[in-house]
Amino acid sequence: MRLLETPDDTDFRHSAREWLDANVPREKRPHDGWEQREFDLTWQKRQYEAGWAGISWPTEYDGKGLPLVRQAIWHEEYARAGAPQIGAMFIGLSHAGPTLIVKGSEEHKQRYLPAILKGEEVWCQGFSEPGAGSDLASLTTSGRIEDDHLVVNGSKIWTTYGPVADLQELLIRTSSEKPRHKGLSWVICDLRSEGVSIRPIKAMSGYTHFCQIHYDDVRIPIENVVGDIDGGWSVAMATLGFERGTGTIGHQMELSRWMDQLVRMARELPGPCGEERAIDNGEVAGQLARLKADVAALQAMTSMAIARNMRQEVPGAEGNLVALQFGELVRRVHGFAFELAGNEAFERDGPWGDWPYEYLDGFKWGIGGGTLEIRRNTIGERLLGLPKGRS
Amino acid sequence: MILDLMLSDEQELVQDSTGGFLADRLPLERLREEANWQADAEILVWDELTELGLFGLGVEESRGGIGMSLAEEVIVAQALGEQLVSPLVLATMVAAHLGDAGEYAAGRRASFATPVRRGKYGERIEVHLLDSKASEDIVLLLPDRAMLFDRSALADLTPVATMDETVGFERATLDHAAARLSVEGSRLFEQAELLISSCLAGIAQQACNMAVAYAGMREQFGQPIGAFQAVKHSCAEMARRAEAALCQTRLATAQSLADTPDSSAIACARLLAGDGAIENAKANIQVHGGMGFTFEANAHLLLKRAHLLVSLNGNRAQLLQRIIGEEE
Ligand SMILES: Cc1cc2nc3c(=O)[nH]c(=O)nc-3n(C[C@H](O)[C@H](O)[C@H](O)COP(=O)(O)OP(=O)(O)OC[C@H]3O[C@@H](n4cnc5c(N)ncnc54)[C@H](O)[C@@H]3O)c2cc1C
Repeated sequence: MRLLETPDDTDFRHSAREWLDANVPREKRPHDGWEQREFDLTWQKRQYEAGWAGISWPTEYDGKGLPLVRQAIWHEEYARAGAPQIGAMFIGLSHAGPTLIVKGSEEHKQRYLPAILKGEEVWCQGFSEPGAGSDLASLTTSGRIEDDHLVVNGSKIWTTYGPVADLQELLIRTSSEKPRHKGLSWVICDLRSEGVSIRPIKAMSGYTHFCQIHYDDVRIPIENVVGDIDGGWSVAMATLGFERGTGTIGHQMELSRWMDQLVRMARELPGPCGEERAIDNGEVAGQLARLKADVAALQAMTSMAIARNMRQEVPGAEGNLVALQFGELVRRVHGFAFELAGNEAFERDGPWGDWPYEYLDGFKWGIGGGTLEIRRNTIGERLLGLPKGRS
Repeated sequence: MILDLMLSDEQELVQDSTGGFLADRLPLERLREEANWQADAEILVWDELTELGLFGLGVEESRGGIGMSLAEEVIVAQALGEQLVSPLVLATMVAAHLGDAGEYAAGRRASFATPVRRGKYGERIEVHLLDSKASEDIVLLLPDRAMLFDRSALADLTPVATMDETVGFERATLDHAAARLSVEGSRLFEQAELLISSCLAGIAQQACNMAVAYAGMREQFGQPIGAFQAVKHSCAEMARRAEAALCQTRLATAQSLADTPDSSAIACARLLAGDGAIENAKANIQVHGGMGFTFEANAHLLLKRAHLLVSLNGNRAQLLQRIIGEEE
């Protein structure tokens, strides 16, 4: 329990702030598609060229090799400056990259890590299948070994940024005899390969960020396997660990900006019972305060997760506590806009922002990367040591 | 501002030594014996508590203290909460910041007085005293003023029975003018809020531990009840609330240490810790079934103490107002 920031860190913070203030793109980020990909890659390139990419990644792979404190400072300043979400870079920067750093071969790291930082390639994650969601280990997309290749057949679904991605972290079954967790492999799939076909899926927000992918005899070189053949489960768990730990920190910061926006609205909009300002209504003020406290707790829990991560290489099950808090809270915060502003908040890109998009899109935080129910199971079993059993 | 919310090696030492001592000498279990209620057990080991250095822990050495910080006191408070140690101990820790730390380190005791009613306070305040029968001093903390009284300054002293029978309650009247010491400002009030939050975070954690232990052991329908999702998920929510309380309390403490205390962050800590303790205590009773409804299990103790600490020097509506804050 102490202040971690040294005077040198604070200098770093000031230069980060200065650069961000001068360079954050002010034009609106496109909502989906190739335009969005282009926007995200261009912004990543600009950060790379100025020396702000991969702050805590190893220097051998074009990272900056700085301590996690600096990375956390960057995240704070990034959010403060109102910089756009990392979007299409998310899987590369927050999943695939960190996974390769921990589990990849030297060749994998050389080939893929710098390209992520430079904003040259978009990654996506192919874990879920139409028949295997929460029960991920039941997946059936198969990889048959033929000489020095895997031949992949099957289908993945809900692949975020899949419609615009170059590469995919793909979890497939390479052995059907072994117990189900022991026959999986984590491979890098080039989505430009022959036999890959993509069907975009429109989400309830009205935008298309994800897709279903079919694999029809897709040939993947065997050296694209990360970790051991049939050892993919532990690699996948490492990947999910990053997501469940601090991977969503940028989105959390964004949530806290929406929270500030709610307070501003409560000060400017008239109250529900004829008060001059909504905030003068006790019920409104009380609900806002409760939301604010829960947003504060979310950030404190993330601070704790960062402190834990500095002491362990791969995040543990504790990350689920943050994810649980986040998943519940997102819906409450965005939903409150409708209570506060009524019909005006229904307007897409209305005077107070696009609340409908934030609200609808926010539901994903209780589903993607593990549903709230599955997270509660994991907390119960892995963190608290409660028995598995019939439910 | 980047804060490390984990404990340093020295802080872990404080946690282990105090936590270990309390688990051994003042375990929650002790409250099953009425003879140990109302601080009687604490008074028996008071010498050992002073030897542990609890009183004056965060007070500068030049003022007769140990010279550690608020962080270490917050760590101790969590352990006090986990074992439901009498508020007498916390009050004496706070008094050491207000009065002469050396005297408290030498065995002098102080108890909390807390206003019976809410609202604006005049010169005379009707208060409740918590476990005060063996203390020389009374600490009264108001949002803008901290006061220390001799016990002899109390008027109209009457014992009252309350919901938490493990803590001795009396009603009395205090006159501002009778204070031995009176310090203006909110610093001590807010420090005490962090300590109370930490106690409550400890209760939230203890409720979770208790529920998990029972759920792993009690069997129905041929399996431990903790294997049922309704129970398991309830435990997971307890873990989340305990974590939220702990993290926000530590964050607000670390901010105070970095000389950037934030009244709204402190209010958040109290709100989250209070809600966490009460909600977890309720859920823990539910996990215990019929047993949870009785004096045969310890679950009820956590609920009663959680309510007591939530209304010590504060109330929820006031916290909510502070969180929303003033116009920028
Ligand atoms: C926006 C978004 C983006 C995503 N991006 C990706 C991606 O990029 N790559 C990828 O691989 N996947 C992605 N996913 C998929 C995501 O991981 C799955 O949706 C998730 O794991 C749930 O699986 P499912 O949709 O099949 O739901 P199901 O598993 O069918 O669950 C349906 C309901 O049953 C409940 N349930 C299931 N099992 C249990 C149980 N044991 N106990 C209690 N309740 C249970 C669930 O909690 C849920 O409420 C994404 C999902 C979303 C929403």
